[in-house]
Amino acid sequence: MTHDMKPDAVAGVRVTPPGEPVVRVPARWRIVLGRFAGSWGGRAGVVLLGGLFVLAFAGPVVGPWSYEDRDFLAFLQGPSWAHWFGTTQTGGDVFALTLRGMQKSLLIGLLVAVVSTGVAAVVGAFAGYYLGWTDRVLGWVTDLLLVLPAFLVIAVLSPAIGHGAWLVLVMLLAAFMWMVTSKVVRGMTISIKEREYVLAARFMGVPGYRIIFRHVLPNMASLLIVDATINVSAAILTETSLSYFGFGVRPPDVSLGGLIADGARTALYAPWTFWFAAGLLVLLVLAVNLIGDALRDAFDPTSDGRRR
Amino acid sequence: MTVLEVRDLTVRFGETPAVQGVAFEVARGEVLGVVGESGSGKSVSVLAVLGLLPRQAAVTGSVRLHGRELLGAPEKELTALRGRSLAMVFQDPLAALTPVHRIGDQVAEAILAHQDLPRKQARARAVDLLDLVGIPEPGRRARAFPHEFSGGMRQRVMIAMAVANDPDVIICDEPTTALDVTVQAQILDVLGTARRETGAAVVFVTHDLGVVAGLADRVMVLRAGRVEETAPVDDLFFRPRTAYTRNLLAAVPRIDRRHRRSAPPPGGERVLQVEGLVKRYGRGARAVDRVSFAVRAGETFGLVGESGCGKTTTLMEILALAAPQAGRIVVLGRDTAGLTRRERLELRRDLQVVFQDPMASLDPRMTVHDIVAEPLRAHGLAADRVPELLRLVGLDPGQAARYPQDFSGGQRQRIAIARALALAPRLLVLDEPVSALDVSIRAEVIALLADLKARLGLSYLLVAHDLALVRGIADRVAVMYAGRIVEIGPVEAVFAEPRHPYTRALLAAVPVPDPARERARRRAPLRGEPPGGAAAYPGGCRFRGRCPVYAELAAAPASRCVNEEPELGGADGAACHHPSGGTR
Repeated sequence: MTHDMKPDAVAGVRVTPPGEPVVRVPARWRIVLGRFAGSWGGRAGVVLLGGLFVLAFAGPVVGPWSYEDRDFLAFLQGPSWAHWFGTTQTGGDVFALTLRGMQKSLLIGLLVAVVSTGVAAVVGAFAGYYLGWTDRVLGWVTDLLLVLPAFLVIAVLSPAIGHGAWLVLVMLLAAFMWMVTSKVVRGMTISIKEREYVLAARFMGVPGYRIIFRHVLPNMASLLIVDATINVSAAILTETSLSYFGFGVRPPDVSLGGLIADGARTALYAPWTFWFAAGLLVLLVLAVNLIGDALRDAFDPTSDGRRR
Repeated sequence: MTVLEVRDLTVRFGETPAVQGVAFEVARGEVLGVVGESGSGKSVSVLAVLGLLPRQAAVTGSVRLHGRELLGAPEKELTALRGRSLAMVFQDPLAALTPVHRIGDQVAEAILAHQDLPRKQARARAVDLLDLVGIPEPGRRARAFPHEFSGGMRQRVMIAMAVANDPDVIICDEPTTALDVTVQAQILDVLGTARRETGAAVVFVTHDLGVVAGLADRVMVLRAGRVEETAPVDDLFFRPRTAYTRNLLAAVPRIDRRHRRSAPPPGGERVLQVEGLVKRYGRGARAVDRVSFAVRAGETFGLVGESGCGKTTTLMEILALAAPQAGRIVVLGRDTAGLTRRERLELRRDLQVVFQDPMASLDPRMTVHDIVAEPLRAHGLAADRVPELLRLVGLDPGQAARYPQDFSGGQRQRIAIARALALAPRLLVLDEPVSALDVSIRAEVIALLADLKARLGLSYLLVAHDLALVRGIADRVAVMYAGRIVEIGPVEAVFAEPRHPYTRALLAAVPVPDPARERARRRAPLRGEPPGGAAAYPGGCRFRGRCPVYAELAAAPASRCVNEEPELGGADGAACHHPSGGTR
């Protein structure tokens, strides 16, 4: 048999009976989405998170007060018809403040988590997969950021950011949160790289960057998702400590973390200043955790309750 | 005298019974072989006897040691028995030795756990035991740590610990599965010695019928948790009662049988040519040293050797399609040194690979469809051929949406083959394609490979340590030792009349599933172990340290082995200075 006829030879063994139904195989992202939508935890998480978003962005429209308003007739009053969540020591409406803070914290928390975990995954995986100079350069960058005092850098840069540039704050926070994870990812990549399915992909001519996104990262999805979930609350808390020292989100703008820090001082005798903000933060973290768990299971085809 | 008696042993994990109604007995000095494929319950049975199953396992029935019931006995009593009356040897000797303690101390510990001896005396006894299991310079080696020992040596230590307290029963669970054939032969010998010294009954669990044939007095065949048959070894091999045993025996590739095969097309073009290939890692010794061979169109070329001989390194060098450190690799007439990135990608379509372990070579997070479609997509082709490819390897395309772990080992290997065939390659590299599979499934996959080769006009480069498999399907074969090819030729010529002493020793070490032949075999296993990759070769013949021929030579011819490295095509075609390895 000469090699010229070979492609036909493969085609020639077609034994498809005519009229056989075509098997539809959904793409990977569809499978993951389907499995995610099928888990009650995932659905509950999405509903909860969606609810928080709606509350944060639609609530201020409904509420009678703005976060900048001061009601000089009601200092530190409990919840009432006029002030649904009560008021602060300076007469601010807790409902308006909490929702305004949640807008910021939702965006900062979720974005920082996604960006920092994404950077960690990409940097770690490229360093671990290519090794050599790529690894050395990325390693230097990682180590440099690790030794820089993140808090000081953000504090110094923060006046330069100016008001309203919360996106810059997100980037700054994310820039100092990815290093440790990226080191873990690098190590895992080195071990996954030796697996035979990665070798097989290489020998069939799949380029390195595609191997990283198709084989390496999905196989450490659980690590990345857990990392991102933790990063959400970590980002919110970091922002809180920044706000506490007057950096980050600055007055009159507020964040959930700032409100909790302020409210903690009056929590004992005016619990409404603390508990609403804290409760919403707990709900937010809970929603993120539910989504994270469901996503992790959705990515892992062996988690179909087949564990004994 | 019956030492160990097991009656109606049933083990359940939750609802599913893993073992049902297993019964056997062993007498003093007797060897019982327990054979079965994966999932047959052979390991679970012996672990149940030892009382080592996890808590959630429900064990019923009766296990009597010297008439004393062990099932349900208090843990304290069992602990006292284990290691003294009941000794065990497991598959992975590294996992069973503590890395931070000296070998001698660990053996002494095994003695002291059950005997009241002064420490010094226990140490001396440990050295004696190491000597018994054939560890050279036992006094010095007793002070070594486990990582300084090779796999075979570690297994010897495990046997020394097992016999330390003069046990009544030694239970061995696949003790030679992780070892090379020449080392396996040595370990089987040591086990024989240990049995003679202690007079213990031996329960030997294995999947390898060849090992059982030479060692066991009686054999029990397990299948899906039940006893298929128990018979004296001769009856089992020559007069099997059940169809299952007959099939099992028929499925074992036999190294001692000539195979009829259609002759490969003579003088076909060379699809792969390797000339003087060299690969060294860092500054170490050359893992592959001046290796040359060629694969012709339509033939199956076998590359055999023990672990660390450089056969896998050779494969990886070929598959990389890059310029080698020295020498030349020519794939389909194209020298890999001068390829552009584009040309290399094009050439990959003609050269594909099937790995050993299908569980490791298929991404667990991808559907079968995506796995088989991956090479097509990498080359910008439509993925609509996937169902056809799955059908080609005998799988139902309707299952394409499932994940690799939903399939059995044999089916997974079929998926891996379908993926390798997706680009319609001309040369398929098979890296131990069936060694991770059960015997009966092996036969199916081998048949599939043969069928595909005939239908698609493929050429195979087969790397294997299983010589029987190579004899069964290869047309030509090259034997590697310590990074060099020591013998090369048509498979029948090499197997029927091996010329290099190493080839002869390798063939002699393979156990044959034929008790009569195994008993008649002159047991002369090769001494020593295959050199590791880091070992340096000072020059001369690399095999001489283990060579039975060299050991017998007079000073004058022997000096040649020391001073001059033999090349292929020497006195007798093999890489040896002495015609027919000095036998004529």
